[in-house]
Amino acid sequence: MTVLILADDLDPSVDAMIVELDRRGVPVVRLNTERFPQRLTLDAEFCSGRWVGTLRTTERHVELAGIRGVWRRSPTTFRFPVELTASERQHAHTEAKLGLGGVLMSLPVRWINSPDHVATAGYKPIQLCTAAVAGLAVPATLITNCAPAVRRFTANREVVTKMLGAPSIHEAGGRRVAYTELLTAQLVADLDGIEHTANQFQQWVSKDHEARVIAVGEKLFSVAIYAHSAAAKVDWRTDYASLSYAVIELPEAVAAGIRQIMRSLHLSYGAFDFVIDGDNQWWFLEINPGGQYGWLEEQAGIPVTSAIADLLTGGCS
Amino acid sequence: MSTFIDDPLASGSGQFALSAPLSWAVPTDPPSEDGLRPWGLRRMGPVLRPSGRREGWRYDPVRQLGVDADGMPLATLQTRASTTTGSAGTEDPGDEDWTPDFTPDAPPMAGPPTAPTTPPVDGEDPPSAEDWINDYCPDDPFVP
Repeated sequence: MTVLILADDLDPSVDAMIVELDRRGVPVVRLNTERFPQRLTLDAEFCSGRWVGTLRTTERHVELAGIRGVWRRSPTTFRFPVELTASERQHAHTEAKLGLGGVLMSLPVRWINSPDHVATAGYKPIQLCTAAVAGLAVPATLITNCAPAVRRFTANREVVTKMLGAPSIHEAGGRRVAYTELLTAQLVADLDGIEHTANQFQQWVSKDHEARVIAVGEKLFSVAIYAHSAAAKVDWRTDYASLSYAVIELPEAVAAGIRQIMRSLHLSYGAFDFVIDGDNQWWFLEINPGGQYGWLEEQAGIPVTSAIADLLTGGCS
Repeated sequence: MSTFIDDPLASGSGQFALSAPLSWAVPTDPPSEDGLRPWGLRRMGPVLRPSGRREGWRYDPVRQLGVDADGMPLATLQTRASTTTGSAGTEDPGDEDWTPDFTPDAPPMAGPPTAPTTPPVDGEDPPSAEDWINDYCPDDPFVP
């Protein structure tokens, strides 16, 4: 039985997983969907209620019926002949998604994570509701395109603004980034453009430190992130050099809440971000169903690769 | 939440989302002026950290690993912790973008907002004329 990994060609965490599965003697096939249809072929036939057949590249092939688990990291978009017109390419893309994507998602195997559940879990407002239902503390949050609502929300509390989705965009030939930002009176006084889309504002929680919790099935790996610069105290992604890490114990109620969220969102893997205040209250910020863990595995020594390998091979749930 | 899971917001395309390739044409459009530009984008800045993007690497399809020009696995050359930078193919949590559906079902174009299916056309009776354009104005319109 084979583990199928759907991933980009350049992905250090996937490299580590390949090495781990090889060490265990577990057959593994790594595919990037970018190779479909020009360098990856699909031959799938619906027989007796399930799809059977093969996925084949020049170097490898995998029998659909022989797949035991699928790890979806960040496979990239299909690549079609450049000679296709835009309409033809769009047609090919849609057919490829419904065909290849549909066959793969129909397989009766464990996914980490099932792509449709990842898509659903990506909606931040749903995350916050799910976390609250699970008993976790959630900071007061406003999502709006109304300037008066922002002024009301910020009138009597410190507030940060952060993206609901990607923290970056590509424009003017480059990549530009917006990290979490503390609102000042000056920012609130000039809200031009706020009406053009939804914006997220959240109560600032005075931090003692932050934590990222990696959930792999029932296993939870909790790492405290200590920021030692002003910028990193607002958003630790701004200044990695100022960070230090330590494995910490999770409060039981937080662990139970995380597991309930995982069940509610049908996830096998998730990267949870928390703020821990001076009273040791854990505040849920978000869950990323495809969040990175590689740097924490190295910095804090948490065995995430092994845990994911266990899950993919059925060693534990 | 089970209601939402059973009836997800995500489009058909988004439910099998695929990311941008490592090499793609970055849009060159300049930012809009203040007032038009969405407020959340107005204070965006360039990525300040040096790129940790590896150069000269290739994918070894036999070993299924990224390797350097000499065929040495990248995993043995550099720790993952040292690659926390801001570009695709690295492990920066800052890259954890929530727009993974790089080439969604239908390109954006002038017209009405999202609809589950298109209306019947050419005199056909539904549902034969219903098209699977289930994300009319999707997240990311760029086509590689």
